[in-house]
Amino acid sequence: MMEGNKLKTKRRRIALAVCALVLCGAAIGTAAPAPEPPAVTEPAADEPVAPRTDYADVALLGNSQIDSFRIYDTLPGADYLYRVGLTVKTVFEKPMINETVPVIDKLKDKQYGYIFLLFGENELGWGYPEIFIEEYGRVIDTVRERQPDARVYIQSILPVSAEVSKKNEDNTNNARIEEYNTLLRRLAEEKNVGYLDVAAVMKNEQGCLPDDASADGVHPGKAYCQKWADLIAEQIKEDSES
Amino acid sequence: MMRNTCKRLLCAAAALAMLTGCGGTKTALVPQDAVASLQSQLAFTDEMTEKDKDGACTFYDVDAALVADAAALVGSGATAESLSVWQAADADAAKQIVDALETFQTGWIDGYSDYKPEEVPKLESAVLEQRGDTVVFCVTADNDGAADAVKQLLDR
Repeated sequence: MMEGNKLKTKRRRIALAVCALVLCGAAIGTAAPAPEPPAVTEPAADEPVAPRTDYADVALLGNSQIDSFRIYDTLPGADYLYRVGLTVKTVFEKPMINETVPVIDKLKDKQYGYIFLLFGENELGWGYPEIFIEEYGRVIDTVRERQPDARVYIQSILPVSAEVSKKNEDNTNNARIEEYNTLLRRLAEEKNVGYLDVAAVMKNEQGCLPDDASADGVHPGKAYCQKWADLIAEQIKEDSES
Repeated sequence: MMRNTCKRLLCAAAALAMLTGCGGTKTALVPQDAVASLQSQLAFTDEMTEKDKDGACTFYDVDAALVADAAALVGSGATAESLSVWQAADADAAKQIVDALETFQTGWIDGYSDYKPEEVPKLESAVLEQRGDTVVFCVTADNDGAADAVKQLLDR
């Protein structure tokens, strides 16, 4: 009797163990298979990266020279956050035309991958370049706060034509521009942001914006805006490949 | 008698047709052609770039739903100069386009006031005309001359 009971208990335990195993197996069988990692198609080493045709994650922020991009649509999809006459001070105060929020607050609307800043042309006449640099630093700090994941670039001040440089209104001349650009390079290093030397692709051997590049010697026309856009596109491409 | 009545009716119909012909039906303006025609008559100092309907709506911030067709010439940013011709969806839409262009004009006056004040007189005297579904807006170096050219175009 005792032996019979022991046998029954043993068989019951075995049956329970088998049931448990079966249930586990069933559970494993019906569980969703672990997702496969997404297939990553790496371009072959010698295969060129397809050129971008949309720059929706790019913003240009600054003064009226950015208007050229809007007029000629040289960076399709990019956002142009600017106002004529904007400076590193008024960017915190003045809105884009027919808008109400200060230009810098437009950075609260959307997260960008790249932000290219353009200031300096309207500040050449300031008595103290160091104040320009200090205020520009404040702009960069604010951009960083609002766009923590964006790559930020300071763009050099563009050269002006020989005629505009000679007129020298409000200290707008190419020597002054070069002086400011040296300060901007240094600022970019201090703030650990990029520096895009737009002036290098715009100026002639005399260091001036060529006469045929612009109707007023300051705002680049279509051909030179395209050179500028190509430089930005090239920088973005280099960044994506590094 | 019946024959006479028919003759009279036929004559009346012919007379009506002739009157309609004399009054003339205006052919609708084609914006691209109008811009090309005006460009040759207007004074621009800037490097001008052509814009199609979408480009014009974007540049002037006009709701594309109001616009059947449009064409524009816009300056490089060196000046406030531009020219645009709009074929609105209807006369009511044309009025809304006029409103949008007035808003554009006001905004640009504000923007250029502290940056390039020499452009402000051009903006203040800009030509803005509506005839039915058609609207023309231009900012040129000679807005008096432009006003004459635009009136001739619209009142032909």
